[in-house]
Amino acid sequence: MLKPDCVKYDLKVSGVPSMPYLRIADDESLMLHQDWCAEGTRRGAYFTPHHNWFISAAHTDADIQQTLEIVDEAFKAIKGKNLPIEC
Amino acid sequence: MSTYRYPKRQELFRRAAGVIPGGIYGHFSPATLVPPSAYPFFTARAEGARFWDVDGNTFIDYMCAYGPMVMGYGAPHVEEAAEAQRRLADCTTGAAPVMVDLAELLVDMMPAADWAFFAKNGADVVNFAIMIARDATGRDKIVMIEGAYHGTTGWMQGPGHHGVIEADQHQVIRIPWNDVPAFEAVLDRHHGDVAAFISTPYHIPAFADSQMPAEGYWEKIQALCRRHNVVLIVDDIRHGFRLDMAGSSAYFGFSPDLTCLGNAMANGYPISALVGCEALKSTAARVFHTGSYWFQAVPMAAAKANLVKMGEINAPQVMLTRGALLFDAMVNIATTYGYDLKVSGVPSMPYLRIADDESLMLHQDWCAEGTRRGAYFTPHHNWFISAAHTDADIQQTLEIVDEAFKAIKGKNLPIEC
Repeated sequence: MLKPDCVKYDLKVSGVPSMPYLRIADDESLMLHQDWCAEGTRRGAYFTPHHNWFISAAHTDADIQQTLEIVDEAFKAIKGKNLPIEC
Repeated sequence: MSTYRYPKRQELFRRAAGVIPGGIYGHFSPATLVPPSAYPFFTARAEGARFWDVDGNTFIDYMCAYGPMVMGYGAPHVEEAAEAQRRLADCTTGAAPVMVDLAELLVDMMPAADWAFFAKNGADVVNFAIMIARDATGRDKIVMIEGAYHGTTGWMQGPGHHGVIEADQHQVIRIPWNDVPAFEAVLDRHHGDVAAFISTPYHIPAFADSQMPAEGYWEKIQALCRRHNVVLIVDDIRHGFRLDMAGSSAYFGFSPDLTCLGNAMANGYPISALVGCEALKSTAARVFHTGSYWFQAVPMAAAKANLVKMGEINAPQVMLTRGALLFDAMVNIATTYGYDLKVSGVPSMPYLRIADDESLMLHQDWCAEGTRRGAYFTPHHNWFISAAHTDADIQQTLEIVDEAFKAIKGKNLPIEC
């Protein structure tokens, strides 16, 4: 049985940053990454799990700041639920 | 009556030819506008049933954007709905609620529609219909009509067209229009291999008269399709909403499995649709087909407003009635000059030609003389009228028609008398 505090997420970002593909590494079933995207979306940052993302020139610093807060919350949410990654 | 000149067009076309293949390509190419010297090529502005070229000449439009314009350019009921939707959203992440409204509207309007799917161009939904037919039947072959136009994808274009390879034709069998025994022979020879029969509601070959279905034709085709489990697809893209708001299959009294719609749907906004029967709904759900702009909300809002308005005034009937008056009068004028003007198809989208003119040059000349006087006539494609062609437009057109016959009478005498 793994302990929650030893879980580390490795978020892989590929492609160029204007249209990156994101996935959480070591997540063969993809369910952890799906769950993280879902938690982000349900908090107001529209993340899809299996397609590259896009950003626009209209994404402001405020949008990005709010997104990062949501990202933090989303990781916190999945950390509390799932432990599929070895450490 | 003075005739138009096109000096600015000539300069613009020269620039176009420098940077665009053919200058202007596809169905707007000057290639079939013979003689090209008579045609404006470019449209600077349009309103109602008229457009203005870059030289400031105005034309009563008998091509209606080759079908999409049906209620007049800039029709307020369409523009207001489009503008209201544009203020909210158009091309976004996620489908617009108006998509559901539009699907429900089509399902309510058309007996052959239990569901609707939206795309952009006619070929998008024709290709989707074929994929559905193949997936539903597990068969490969498509039966279509010789000389029919369904778009420009490889299989749709006949052998010998540039960029079309022989393999594109392997699963396509072409039979003559109105030839039930030919379809029976194909079903016999390729028993169990035919996925679909696809045709327009009546036949509209280019460079030839339109041909209506023979008595009992659709009934027999439908019965054969049902007996052999062949998916019956109607390409109603050009005819749709110019014969009957319930679909051209309702006009002719038969029940297709899939109906391809487009053109007149949204009065020029880019949208097409495939509608179909309940039995093919789950197949349609699993065949993957999509495009970047297929969920645009503005064309959907425009289509909804346009179809409602067309239904309120029974726009197909308006066009059929007004067109019949116009083209009967044209035939009478032709007769007074000794010409036999043949009008085929229905009066909302007729094909015209002067009879006994094997080289087609007399007919081309007549269309050119009409165009240069302000009635936009093309020689080798069916024409279109709209519900926005007013009595005044028609009166002016008939004056132009008279002048055009007078002009060719003074030049040519190819018909025996």
